[in-house]
Amino acid sequence: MNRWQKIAWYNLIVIVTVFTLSGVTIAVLTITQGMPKALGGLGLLGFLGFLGLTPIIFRKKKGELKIDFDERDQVIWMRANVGAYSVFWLVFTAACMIPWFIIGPKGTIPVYVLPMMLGGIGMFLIVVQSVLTLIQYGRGGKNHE
Amino acid sequence: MNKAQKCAWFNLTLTLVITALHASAFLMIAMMGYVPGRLNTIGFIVVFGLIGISAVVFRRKQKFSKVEFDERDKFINKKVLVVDYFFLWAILLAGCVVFWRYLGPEGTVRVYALCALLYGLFLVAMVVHSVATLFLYGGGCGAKFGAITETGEVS
Repeated sequence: MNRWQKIAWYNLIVIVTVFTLSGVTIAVLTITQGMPKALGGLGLLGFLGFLGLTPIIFRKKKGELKIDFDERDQVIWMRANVGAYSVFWLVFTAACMIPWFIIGPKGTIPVYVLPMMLGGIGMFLIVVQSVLTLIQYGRGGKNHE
Repeated sequence: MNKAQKCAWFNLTLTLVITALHASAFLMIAMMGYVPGRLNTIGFIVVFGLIGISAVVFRRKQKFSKVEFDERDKFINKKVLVVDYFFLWAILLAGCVVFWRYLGPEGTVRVYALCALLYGLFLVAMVVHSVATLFLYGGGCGAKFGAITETGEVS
């Protein structure tokens, strides 16, 4: 498994774990303490900050002569980004139009929803990009060479 | 100039014309005072449908002996999409900051503003896509892989 696959797995694991933990916490708090307090479980989403640690955890070791990012990696990286870009339009259009159907064109939404919307889309796209990266490396030859 | 460059010029020109028309319409509405009916003038948005024509106008092969879309074009196309992707994220984040700054976190936006945001983002995407295509054919990748002349030779 090369560095980029490890990063993709790491991103996937962090996002899935944090969202699962947050969901379970909200569910448990809803049962025990009721709804407004249960939303405190959203605070666990702060652990998504672990995604920022990838450059430190998966940094290239000093003195390592192995090529880290060749033409094939570049093509895979680009394809994963292009895939994420395609999904971006789909998700972003849905995010803009769904409120239209639910609360109507003259309804209003609070401004703080916008960064939350973007954060959600961003997380979803990181998942898409990671899955695409893993799929593309998986199609390679022996030992992912 | 190849097909992708012609398409890029066409889209860029059309997008800029539409944006200029929008800007002038909003400016006139602002100067003359807001009357609900005046917003109907924005209906010329329909002209933007012309962008679909580029696929028809530039569909013909320039020369049957000439390769129309090779590895280099493919690479440039992918690179342009990646540039688009990162640029749009920057614009969206900036948009959120602007909303937050001027309306505050407790402020509200109308739902139709989201549709306007979507439309605006599409216009920006068209401009970024066209400019990046022209730039990569003219500079960056052209210099890296050798520019292709009118006769199809690599210089």
